[in-house]
Amino acid sequence: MTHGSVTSLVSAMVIATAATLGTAALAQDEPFRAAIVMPGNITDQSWNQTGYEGITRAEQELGIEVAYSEQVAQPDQLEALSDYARRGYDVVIGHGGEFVDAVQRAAERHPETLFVVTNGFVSGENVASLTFNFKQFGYVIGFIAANMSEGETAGYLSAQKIKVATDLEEGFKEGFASIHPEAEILVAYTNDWDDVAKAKEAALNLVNQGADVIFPLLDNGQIGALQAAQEQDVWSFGVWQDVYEAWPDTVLQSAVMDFRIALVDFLEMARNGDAEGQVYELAIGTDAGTLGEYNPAIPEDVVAETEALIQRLNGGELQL
Amino acid sequence: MIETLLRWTYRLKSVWAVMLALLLGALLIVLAGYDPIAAYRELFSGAFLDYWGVSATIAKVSPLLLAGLAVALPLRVGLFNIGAEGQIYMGGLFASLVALNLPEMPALPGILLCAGAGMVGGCLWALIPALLKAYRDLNEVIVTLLLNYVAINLVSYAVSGPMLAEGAPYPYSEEIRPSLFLPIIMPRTDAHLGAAIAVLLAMLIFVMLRYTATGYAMRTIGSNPHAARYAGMSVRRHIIGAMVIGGALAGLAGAFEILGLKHRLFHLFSAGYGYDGIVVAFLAAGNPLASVLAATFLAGLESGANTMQRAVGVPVTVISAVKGLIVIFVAASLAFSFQRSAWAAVLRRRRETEAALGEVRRGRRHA
Amino acid sequence: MSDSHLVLENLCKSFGPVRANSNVTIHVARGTVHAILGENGAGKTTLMNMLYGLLQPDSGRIILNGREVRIDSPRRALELGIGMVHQHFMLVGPLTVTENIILGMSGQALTLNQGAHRARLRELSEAFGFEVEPGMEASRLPIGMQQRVEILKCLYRDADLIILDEPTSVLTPQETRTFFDVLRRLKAANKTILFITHKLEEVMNLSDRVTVMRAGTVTNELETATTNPGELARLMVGREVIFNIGSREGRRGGRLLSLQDVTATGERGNRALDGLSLDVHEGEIVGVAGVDGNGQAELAEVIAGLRPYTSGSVCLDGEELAPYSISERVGRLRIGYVPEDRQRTGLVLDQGVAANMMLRAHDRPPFTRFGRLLDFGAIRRNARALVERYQIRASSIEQPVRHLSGGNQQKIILAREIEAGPRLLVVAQPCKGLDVGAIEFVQNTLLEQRNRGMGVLYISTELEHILAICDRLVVMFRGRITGSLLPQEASSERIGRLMAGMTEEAA
Repeated sequence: MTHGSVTSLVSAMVIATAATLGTAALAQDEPFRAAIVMPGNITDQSWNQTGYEGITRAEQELGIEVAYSEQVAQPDQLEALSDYARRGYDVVIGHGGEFVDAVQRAAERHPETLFVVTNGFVSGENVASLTFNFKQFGYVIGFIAANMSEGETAGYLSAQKIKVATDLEEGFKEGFASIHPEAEILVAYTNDWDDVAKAKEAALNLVNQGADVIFPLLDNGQIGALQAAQEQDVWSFGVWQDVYEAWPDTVLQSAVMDFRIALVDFLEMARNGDAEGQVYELAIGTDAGTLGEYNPAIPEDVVAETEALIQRLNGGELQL
Repeated sequence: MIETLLRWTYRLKSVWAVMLALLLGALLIVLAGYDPIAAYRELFSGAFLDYWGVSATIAKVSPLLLAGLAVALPLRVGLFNIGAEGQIYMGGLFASLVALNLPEMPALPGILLCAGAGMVGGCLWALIPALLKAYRDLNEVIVTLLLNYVAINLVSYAVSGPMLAEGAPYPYSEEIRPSLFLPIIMPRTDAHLGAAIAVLLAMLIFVMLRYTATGYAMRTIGSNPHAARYAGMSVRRHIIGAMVIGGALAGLAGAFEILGLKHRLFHLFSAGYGYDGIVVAFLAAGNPLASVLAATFLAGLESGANTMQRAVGVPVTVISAVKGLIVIFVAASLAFSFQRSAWAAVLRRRRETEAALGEVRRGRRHA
Repeated sequence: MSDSHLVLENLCKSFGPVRANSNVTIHVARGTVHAILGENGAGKTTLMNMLYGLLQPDSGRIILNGREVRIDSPRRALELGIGMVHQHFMLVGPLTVTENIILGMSGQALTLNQGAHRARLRELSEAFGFEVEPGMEASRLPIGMQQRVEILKCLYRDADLIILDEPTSVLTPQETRTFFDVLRRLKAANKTILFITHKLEEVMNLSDRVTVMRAGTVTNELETATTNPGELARLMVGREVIFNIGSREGRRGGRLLSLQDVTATGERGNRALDGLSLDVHEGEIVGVAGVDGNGQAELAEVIAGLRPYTSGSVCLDGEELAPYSISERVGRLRIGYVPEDRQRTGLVLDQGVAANMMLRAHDRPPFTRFGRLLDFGAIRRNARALVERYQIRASSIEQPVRHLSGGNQQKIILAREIEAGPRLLVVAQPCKGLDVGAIEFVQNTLLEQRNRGMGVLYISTELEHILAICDRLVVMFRGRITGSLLPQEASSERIGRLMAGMTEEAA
């Protein structure tokens, strides 16, 4: 799947902001080395595990040398990134938006190393960000939701108003409005990504206010939100992974954004000396970022329209 | 002769404890499939031996020492401040609020204002359990512990709502302006001035406890509150005072993390320093000067362990186990006293025998 | 001896260079009460610990029931029928009396048959008139009852020789009387009692024979009937103790302290002081007698400022004391206070002699300078001078006072309170647990200060001590004064009536 996906990755770049002046000079004769610094545990079956699996896949598929640090607390971020740079790693990745500052400061101290932050939005001479065009995903989900809804009320649920959450929210609203411009989109932020009970309560609350379809973006809390949707018999969506099989009577579709594939593709590009200090924003309709399985409840014509929509977004015909 | 030797052996007990813990830790590392010698080389160089290691250690001394003092001082009046973590968060919150809203001004007064705000934040957070303890006799352990969660959630709310930076990918605030950054004491590293200020404060508190009437009153209250009241000391005032000063120190730790290291208020910005502070205070037996040593030791252990993970790839769980072993062994060794040891008993008996023999010899001479 | 229960022959025990016991020989006859009398540090406790298997003698023999025995543990002592009741009881608070008594007994089945034990204990308790309820929780029993539980514990294990270490030191006077009855019953049941004490009157009241010890040796062993307190005191301290030393110099001055209708609340919310009125003049020692627990402790605390009074007035030189803090009463008003509980209140045991010597003046000159900085030079000079003047035996002025004897601890408090130059000194139970020599020192010191014009309020439950030094005597009962009289008018019947609450108009 990932072979030759560099081209698709490059084609998927929608925006390449800021300085693309100098390509990070990478030595060719020595083995290519990459390291990733993660905030949590590599067995969390979630964000950190994604980073760990991404780098180990890169090791196997690309034959590069890799290293990782897990459970790196906030005060240790900068030192961890810098230390890898001092040890001669060519690419050092901070896994998660909270690394934005640390990556920028480490990059100033170590100009010879390319620093990357996943879910980030910054770029510089030797700073790159690897992220998805969350708005597009939100838009497509909103489009499907609107087609399956009575068209009066829908719900959006997340934990904290960070960039990924607000982008998805915006996209969802626009996508929904493209079918039902008058509809009301209820929004709730719980301040807790993992609290299952809290998520369920918030989702039930949205349903009680009239939402007949909800789009939750949470970590462990996702389960609670989906449970609520199932109990109340309203439609819902998955995010990051395809969860249709686990929730066939509730989940319409999933926004699958796979950082493992994105990481491997990026590292292959970096090894080939093609990676630059810019924001790599992956569009919908790529290997890494796509939709999952359609729920059979969705009418054929809606599926076809959705696929066409993805094509237009990917091709840049539709700008958000 | 033998006794002096044994005494020295005892005096170095912490060293033996560390070695024993390292030996056990080596076993764990071997079992995990890594080279213990390489791992330990990295542990020590990552802690104390190279420029970068030293800088990483110094960067951690600031929060660890201040949090340690925040626990140690209330400990002297007999209070357990489990709430340094929450006080750190409140300190960070207050310092950030002031830093982000301060009108343009020169660096020094700006930094002082922000640090002062951090201390006020920690103070207020410690004042709650102090007042409840002094006037309602509520257990300060429970109150401080619970307030930690309140503080962490308050910060979390602030940075994901009202203080959230525009377009932030993680719950954090806007960056404070560079004129408010604490000066770096080792170029190209994170080692900021906070550690030096923390050491100065430790010395100040040592002097206060040892050489002033207030310090004497605090120590007296800690060892016998009845006698302290009889001596005319205000037990309430000193309990509140010790707790509030402790809170201010923890608040300062939080302010320094923002001003010196993170430059923004982050969700979950303290890595449990408030709880590490409890370890520091206990290793140092509440002594402020010994706290400097204990905090440096713990800071070195932390940063060395991080290096060990990066350089040798030892899994973090094994490293946590080794760290835990070292702390437990050192703490246990500090509980040993030479006077109570079996060795000392043997030596005492020998001395008695010799004294008796001496008497016999002298008796013979006289006879 | 024909029916010797226990014979100790030439027992010796040294701790390093210190000879705690040297050639101690004692004969204890069966079914008698045998007292071991001596000052603190005379070696009594060492001797008893050897007997109970806690220490091993260096030389000498222990002969029990005519056979030489080796006692290497308390368990062995119990097997031999020797039981011991320590000065501080060894009961486990939350357990019941029965559970405490059968705790650690050998020969227990895996399941405890508590019912049977309880029944047998009740029987035993009734036989000796102990009035102990086996089902009660130990921590809820009064002190005197706890002591009886300890004795019951010995009896239940079939001990026929019971050692009692300073048994009355923790008892109230009423409890002491009950305790004496208990001993008589034990004796009637042909048990042998060996009790350690430094109180002359107990020896005279209770014992059949008495062994007097001084400095690790036995000075004499005699029949109680053939001796008198004066002789015993002489044997114990090596000289006659003069009890009536109230030589009067100087004159009683103006009224210093005046209490009018004072009420105050006690620890348990009770009305501890209930309309109490009292005067103390300059150059006068006023003794406060009474059965313990009738408000004496609260009276002292009210004057010292540790306890607020709820109504009435407390005046020094006509000025109301209420607005003054504890510290102001010490520093500005110069009220000294020697508290009853010296270890809990009067001293900080973990601190050194020097620190304790400045405890109540730690925040003012001469012990501070430049505001609140401690002046260690002044603190040390003060401590050295006081240690010398009061002949306090400590290895250095930095030695923690925890390691000093009770007498030396009390001297530190007295030295501190008296040398602060108070106008009024409140003294509560200053001689509790002290040996004869130390008592004499305390009383002489107080008299000396009285002669210099100090007013002293001397609170004690030991009538002899009060009579020995006071110029005037008041008796307290349930928070009020039932009578005021001069020592020479104080017959024991009259005081007894006042202590029991029978007021009389005449003073």
